[in-house]
Amino acid sequence: MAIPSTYYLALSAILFTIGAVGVLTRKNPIVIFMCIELMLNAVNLTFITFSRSQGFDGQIFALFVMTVAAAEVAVGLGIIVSIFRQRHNIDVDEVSLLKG
Amino acid sequence: MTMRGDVILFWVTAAISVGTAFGVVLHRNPVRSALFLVINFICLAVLYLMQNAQVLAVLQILVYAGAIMVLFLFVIMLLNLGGEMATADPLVGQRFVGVLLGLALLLGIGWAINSVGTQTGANAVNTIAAGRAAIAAQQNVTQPQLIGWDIFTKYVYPFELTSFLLLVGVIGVIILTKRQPATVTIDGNP
Repeated sequence: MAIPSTYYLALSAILFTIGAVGVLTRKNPIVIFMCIELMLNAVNLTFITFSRSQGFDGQIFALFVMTVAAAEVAVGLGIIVSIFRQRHNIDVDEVSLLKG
Repeated sequence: MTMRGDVILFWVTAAISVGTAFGVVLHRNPVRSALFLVINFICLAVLYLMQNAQVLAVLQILVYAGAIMVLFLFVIMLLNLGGEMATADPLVGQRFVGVLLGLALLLGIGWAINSVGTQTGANAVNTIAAGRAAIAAQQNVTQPQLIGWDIFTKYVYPFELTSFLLLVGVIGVIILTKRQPATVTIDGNP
């Protein structure tokens, strides 16, 4: 218990921000997904940091975040594959119309 | 103050995780980004271990670095994507505004952390948690046992809901990526 929780929280905030900037600036949807994973992991770090002083609830929440992330990645990559089959290009600026 | 092992480990891991996060965002090649992300996940697992969350550290390696990143790399290599092409940007100033919004977000979270730290004392060890840990140590119960107990009593309905969510995810992926019957007969391969 040597390192204060605040350091972990600050690290988590930095990682979350880097992920958010990546989501806002990148154009490849796969990289955008990776940045979302980065953000989810930063949130997990916050949950675990608080579970250090507040009981195990934080760790169980982090577990749920992991399962949701796994389902989200599977469905998201499925969507990307099906977009690629139709257009052979997955740049998010090109795929901006909600039309088949 | 002398540098202790855990302090050094924390700073090294934090530096590597921030550096690899920048690598994920900045690198043009998505395969490199994915590999940076694997290193980032391993660093986070180390940070979980340092905070006594052994179960989550193992799951982090198994689920994220193992399963999810393999799926990412598989799709990247299946689609055989190159780097992003430096074509004309339809959204003018997207990078600039994105970085600006990111800095605003960082300031907001920093302010929140600061106020939490001063108000309730995030560093103070909660008496409930300390008491539970003491009882667990006395009765020779390990932490995974306590987490399992909580999952199957207090959080049993959310836990069952996650299984339903995963089922929906499996069905959704199968429907999304299934080829149409006509193309199967033309191509000859499903």
